[in-house]
Amino acid sequence: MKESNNIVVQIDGNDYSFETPDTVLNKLLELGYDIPHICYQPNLGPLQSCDSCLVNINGKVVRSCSTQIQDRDSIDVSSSSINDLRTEAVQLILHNHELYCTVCENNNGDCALHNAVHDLDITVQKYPFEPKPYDYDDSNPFYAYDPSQCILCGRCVEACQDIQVNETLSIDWSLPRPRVIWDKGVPANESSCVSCGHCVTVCPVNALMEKSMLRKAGYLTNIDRSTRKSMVDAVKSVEHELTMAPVMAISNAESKLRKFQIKKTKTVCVYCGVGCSFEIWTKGRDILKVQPQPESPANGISTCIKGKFGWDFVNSKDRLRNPLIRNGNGFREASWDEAMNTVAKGLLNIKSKYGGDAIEFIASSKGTNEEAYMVQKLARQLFGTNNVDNSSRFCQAPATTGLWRTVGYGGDSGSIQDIYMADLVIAVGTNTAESHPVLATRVKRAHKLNGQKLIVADLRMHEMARRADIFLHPKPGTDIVWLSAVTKYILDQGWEDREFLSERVNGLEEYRRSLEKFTLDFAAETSGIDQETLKSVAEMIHKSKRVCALWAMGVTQHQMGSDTSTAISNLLLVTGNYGRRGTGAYPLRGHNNVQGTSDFGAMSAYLPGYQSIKDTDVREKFEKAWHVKINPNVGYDNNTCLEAMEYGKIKAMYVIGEELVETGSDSAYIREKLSNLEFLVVQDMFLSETAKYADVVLPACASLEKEGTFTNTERRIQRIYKAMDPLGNSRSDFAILKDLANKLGANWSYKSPAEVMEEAASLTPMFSGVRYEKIEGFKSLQWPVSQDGTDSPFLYEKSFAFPDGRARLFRVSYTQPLTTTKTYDLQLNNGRLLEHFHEGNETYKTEGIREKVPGTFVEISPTLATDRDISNSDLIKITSKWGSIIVPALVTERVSGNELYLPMNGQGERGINNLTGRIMDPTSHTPAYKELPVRIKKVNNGDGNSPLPKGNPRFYSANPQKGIMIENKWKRKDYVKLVTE
Amino acid sequence: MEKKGLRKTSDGVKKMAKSIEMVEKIDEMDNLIELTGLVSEHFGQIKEMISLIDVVEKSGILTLLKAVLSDPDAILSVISSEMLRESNVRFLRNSSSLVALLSHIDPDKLDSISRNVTASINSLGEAAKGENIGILTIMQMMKDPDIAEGIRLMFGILKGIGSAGKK
Repeated sequence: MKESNNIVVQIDGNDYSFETPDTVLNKLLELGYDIPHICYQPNLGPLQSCDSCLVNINGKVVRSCSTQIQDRDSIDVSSSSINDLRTEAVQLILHNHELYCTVCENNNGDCALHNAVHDLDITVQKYPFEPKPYDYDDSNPFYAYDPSQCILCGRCVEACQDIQVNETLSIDWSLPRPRVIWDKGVPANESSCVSCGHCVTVCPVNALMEKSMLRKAGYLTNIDRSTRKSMVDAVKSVEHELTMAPVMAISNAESKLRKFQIKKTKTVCVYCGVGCSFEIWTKGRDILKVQPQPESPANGISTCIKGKFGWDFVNSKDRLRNPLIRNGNGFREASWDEAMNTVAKGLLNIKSKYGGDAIEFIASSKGTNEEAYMVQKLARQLFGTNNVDNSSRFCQAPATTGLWRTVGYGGDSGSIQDIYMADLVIAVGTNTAESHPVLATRVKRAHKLNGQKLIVADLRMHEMARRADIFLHPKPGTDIVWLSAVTKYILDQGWEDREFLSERVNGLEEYRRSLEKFTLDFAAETSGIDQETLKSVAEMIHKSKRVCALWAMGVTQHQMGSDTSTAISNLLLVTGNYGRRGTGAYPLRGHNNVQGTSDFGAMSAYLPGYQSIKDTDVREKFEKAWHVKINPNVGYDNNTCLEAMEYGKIKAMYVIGEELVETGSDSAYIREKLSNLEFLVVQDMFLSETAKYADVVLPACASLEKEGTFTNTERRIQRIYKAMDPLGNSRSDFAILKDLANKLGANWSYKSPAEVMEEAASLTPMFSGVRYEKIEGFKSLQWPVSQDGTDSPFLYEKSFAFPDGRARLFRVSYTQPLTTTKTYDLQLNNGRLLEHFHEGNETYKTEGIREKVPGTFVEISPTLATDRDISNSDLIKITSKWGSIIVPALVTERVSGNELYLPMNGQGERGINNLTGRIMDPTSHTPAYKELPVRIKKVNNGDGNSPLPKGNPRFYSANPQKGIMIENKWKRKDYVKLVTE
Repeated sequence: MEKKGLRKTSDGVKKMAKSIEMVEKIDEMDNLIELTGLVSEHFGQIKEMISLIDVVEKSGILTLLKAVLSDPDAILSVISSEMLRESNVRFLRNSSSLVALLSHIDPDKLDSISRNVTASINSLGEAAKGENIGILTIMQMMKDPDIAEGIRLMFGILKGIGSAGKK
């Protein structure tokens, strides 16, 4: 008797019953069938290019990857006739690929073609291999393409076109011998390729290989290409007699042996806050490659140039290997014992002279959650101060404030998957494709394939702006005006979600009144966006069932950063876009662990889990656990502590993994403050500009050299594992902090970061169910995590994080930002470039990245360039009220009118913060980096060439298409059809 | 007393800490101490290893290995181009054919044939002493089941060679 709704089928004469629908291939794999599927990869879906997964269903030969299993199907998988067809399919593929597995870098047990040949017991090649008449392309600094090894499966094309959506790769099916082409058929390094590595990651063979794998992957791969060709030819000469079987056997053995020399370690990227996880392959200290996995929760198979290829800093010769102690006009290397004694003594000296509140502790947003917890515990338990903070103060604190005011939790309200599911994405002040590239891929894919709408508000015509359905270019610093005007217009039209507002939100009427001045007239005049466009935005929001708002530094790094963030959340509340999948607010966190460092209490007003330092009950809980009295006063944060130095309040600092001098606003001011400190400890991987002012520099190790957890922008807690030992005598922050605490008499007994997490979880309701064993490997938990381990992929389904469970509309008002004047007549904007992370102290260590973007420059609009007689590479002096820098010009239409853009990857004298001032958001104390009127002067003429080299993708146009266009293969005369019509 | 090089605020006078980059390296004493510990811990194994190296060195293998490893591409290039010379290819193919032939023969049958051949060779002395062989003698010998079996085998092989030639 058939069970209700189950799919009952017969496979090879046996009965099976399935509860859920899926493709035949997935069901067969689930059942343990070893059926080849060379072109199929789960994140890409069925490409139907290889025919290696053929089965016979009810008498018809079909591709199992693209066929949904149906009730009462009779499926033949194992008969000799269907096996012969699969063998024929693989034989046809071998015409395009020379098997030399033993000396192939891809012979790591996961080569889809090798495995298919082996499983189908193919011992003689039916269609001899014929090389394709195209050159090997190793022009890109990170990967190489060998057309003759390319089996035309299309995985790379699908990944490039529809996952990454950079739309560079395609297969030219019209060629006599088809191949993968870049753009319209140019070398890889002269194309729009952004080196994200998707194509290399998914290539099932060795056609696309990371250059870091070449010659290094196997025991017999360290031979040059011409020698290898001779060797392969020699072996092939006897293949007819010997068959492929012995060679396959040797290559299988060699592949197994590789496991002894290649270590695969799960880790999480250390650049932006998207939280891409992957396996990193190492051979000793050599990093062979980064391989994201389908189960990587935030990114799947996706990476960007930095995460895939930007790891050379780990083995950089510039890494600190020993502690340094200031000694006259230089540092001298010292033993750990001496250095730690000096640190302990120096800090105790300050404490005894001025009290613990004279010391500021800065935790690293690049460090782990456990290390952040230890820093704040060190400050509070041993020095009795709340002067502890992290770099979220420089970027995301205003967004957190906006969310605390309105919905309760200072984090993204859903997951990246929710952004993908939205009908409409509104991106404000975010250059997502460059600053959060992997998250942007999901928006680009949904926009390209699912009809998702996209509204982008920003100053520059960047990639997301080009893709937008509506692009808004407001006057700098006026986002709050157009956002509030659109919200008011929606309320005026009666388009608000009344039921949601009445059941789940407080303060509507008061808020409505506060919007009175935000008329369309006012908004158009103030923001420069015309009324019709504002109405179109409101209509698009009104017509969309699921809306997500993304924002970043273009919003937060203004004096009104907190209020603009609040305005975004208000708009989402008025339209009912919270608490459902595909909706919500997404401030895009900038560092890998800027979310977690704040979450775990490295904040001047909060204990871990945003438990207020002013709350007596909370303090008592920590006092009981830590056996000390907790200071009830809010401390100085990492921005205001600089002013506190000026007033003599802060005498010492302990800075961990933060390049304060180059990333804080007004570098000259910061340099002066640091040189006036009585005692400065800096813990870093490099002798940073900040470290150069230190009394003691402690060499910290890289994320690959330690264990712990990071929390990404989705509130997702993920583990990192140790791939190699710390370089030289460097140590993890965990080891250093524990040692210091114990030198100060704390008797911390943590044996591992797992024990720190247990303690944090025991004191923090938000993390109460977080345990290492629940987040093993690629598993993760999104906070809040209840005691039973239930996590929260999306928030506010039933209630908001306030005592009454209701959200709050929060009134905001507009004050004018810093604007241009007669003296400072241009507006300078700044931000990231795709290739670099901040000032580039890690990314410049990778030669290929330096090749793509060797330095910074200032983008100038063609109109302004003509007006000021400026050409590419002319050296331009930019002067603000607070300083000046000289950089080369790049004339581009990405900027317009009197707006300039300076990528923040300038170092030393070219750094953006030589120009910024000390103006900040009064609520969150985040510097108003983006409010920067300047003037420019041409210093001398350049050579007219762009400061970006020829190999930079920004010069080239992509070649968009949907997928791999497999129909064009099927139309070819040489296509051998194996399926039944 | 503060350590030399630290900033001092005694007498209320602040000394500005300049940005410095120069680093005076320490010797690798820590590493040496660690290494000494490792050596004493594994003293026995290290001695064994040294004696092994000694033997390998004296045998000349170490020098050869060093030469090969210092320029592996050159060595491999020579080997592979040598392998591609016509005579070597023929040798390899013939060797492979022989290997293939041997791998297709049932070892049990080959064993019994080789035993018989060995026995025949050993009995050659006896047979050679006999009379001259005429047609009649041959006809008579054909009746000997051992000879008949041998001839059937020979014909079988000849047939196989002939049909392969046609193909």
